Amino acid sequence: MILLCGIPSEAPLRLVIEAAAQMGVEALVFNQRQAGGIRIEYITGVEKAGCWHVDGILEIGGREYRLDDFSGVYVRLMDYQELPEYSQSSPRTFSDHLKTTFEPGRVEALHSALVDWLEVAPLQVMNRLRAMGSNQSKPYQAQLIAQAGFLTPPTLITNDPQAVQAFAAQHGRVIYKSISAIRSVVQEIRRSNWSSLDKIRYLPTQFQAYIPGENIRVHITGERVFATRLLTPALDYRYAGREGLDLEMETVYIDEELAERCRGLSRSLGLPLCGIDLKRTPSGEVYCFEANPSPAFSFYQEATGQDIAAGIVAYLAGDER
Amino acid sequence: MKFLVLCHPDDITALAVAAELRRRHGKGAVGVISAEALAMAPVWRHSLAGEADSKRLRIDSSFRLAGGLEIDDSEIQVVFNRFRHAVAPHFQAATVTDQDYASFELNALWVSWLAGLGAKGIQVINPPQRGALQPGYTRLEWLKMAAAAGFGVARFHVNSREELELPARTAWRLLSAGRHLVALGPANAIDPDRLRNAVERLQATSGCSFFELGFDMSDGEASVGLILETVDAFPQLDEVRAFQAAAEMLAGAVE
Repeated sequence: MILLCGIPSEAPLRLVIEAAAQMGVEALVFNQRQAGGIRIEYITGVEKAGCWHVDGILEIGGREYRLDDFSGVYVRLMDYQELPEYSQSSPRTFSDHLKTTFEPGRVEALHSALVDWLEVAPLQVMNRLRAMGSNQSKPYQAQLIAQAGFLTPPTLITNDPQAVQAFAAQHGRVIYKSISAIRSVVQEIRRSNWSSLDKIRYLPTQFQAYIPGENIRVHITGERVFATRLLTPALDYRYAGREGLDLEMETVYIDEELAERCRGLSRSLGLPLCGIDLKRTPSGEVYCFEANPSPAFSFYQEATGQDIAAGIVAYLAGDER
Repeated sequence: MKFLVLCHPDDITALAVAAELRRRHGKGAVGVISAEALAMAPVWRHSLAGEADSKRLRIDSSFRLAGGLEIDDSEIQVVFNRFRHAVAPHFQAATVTDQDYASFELNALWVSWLAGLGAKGIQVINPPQRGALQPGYTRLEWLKMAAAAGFGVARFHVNSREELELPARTAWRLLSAGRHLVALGPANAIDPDRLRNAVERLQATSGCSFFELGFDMSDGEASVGLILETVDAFPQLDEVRAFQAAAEMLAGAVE
């Protein structure tokens, strides 16, 4: 049996639930919006085959499931404090009725207990919270990406406008974006707005040499590799629509050497599920920008027909044939 | 500067270790930088660039503090990292969203800087891991690693509808400071060396060399029933012997 955690109507989780049903894989859904009806209980330090082990149960909908009965877990948890059922500031609506069935502290305890178990459970987990942390610092993750054999763009993080100008003089086109996992729209810094560079004195900002070429997004699910080419004139393909620009997406072949390098990166980051952002330059070099540990793969699956959700289910069920 | 101590202003343990280092190695050998000072540094430069003919990254960092002190990677021989989180004091008047953004950005920068030092062979104790400034293992992760390292570890009953964890019943504490093991609290009959092999295995698995172990002695006898209850990679210490052990650990890292 596999466990699927999150909000069932959210596209990635919805696709995984549908894929499990189509593949005949038994799946249990941990629905965050019905947390009041869920309980997890376990004892740590139980010996099993000579090893430290966690033994316990997960109760959902009045039925108990042994933790040992799960072969894998897909984690697509939202911040429960942002959900209307548990938000302190939400207006009194129908969800307030649901709120009366449990205390806020219990929701926190439930999520803590679940995540703590997942960090140590001997299961296939997509993905463990700890492994997802590398994405909290893009330049730190870039160091790990380089160790996995990828080129990464020349990068400068600074709050010194003169250093940025020198960097731009060296590299020509330069973009800037956030250093952390907080999403930002990739923008280009132009000579015409160098006067605005003074703003960076308040906070170091990440600048990178612009890398020309085609965007390729690679999703890894265990050993399976799904590659999508993204064709757009936008600097940041994720926001092409917002800028009124075209975006075409199509499945693209990547050779086995590159596919294996992507698998290797996934393994080294401890992320059996990840979305790897690559760019192939006109001269054939491949640069890697980041590995997203919680990819919204539905965007790519729905555009290309790649069955990424089935790859996730196969990995969790331990059947990647 | 041989030793760089990174800490929050109220971190008495880090400040006491820095004082011990100064006493042993001279004032000029030790730099103490607070998270606030680092956040307010007027100049920060942190660069990553591929080295010619290879996919290796060359990582260089330098910063200048408000007082004028300039530091680059080449001056640092070992870092005692006691940062728990980044702060952005100059964003105090901003919205909470902007304050959070600034803190996340600084955290990301400092993690990359410290990881880059580690890649150059400069020891960082304890190093940032997986995007966080501190190792950040949960109690269960510590206990799982400790069990594999050879410790007897406590059992915990977790129930999401009741209290999450039992209170620790720590009766005996041991400080791991590299190869220096120090029994903390009231003296008793346990010889720290008895646990040396297990501690060294735990250091290797966790990537941390500075932490405190808390044990319960279930039957009150020091020689039996030594059960590990807690591991704290951010110990708050108050014994001179502990500060001395930390100073020796850091001195050993530059030898």
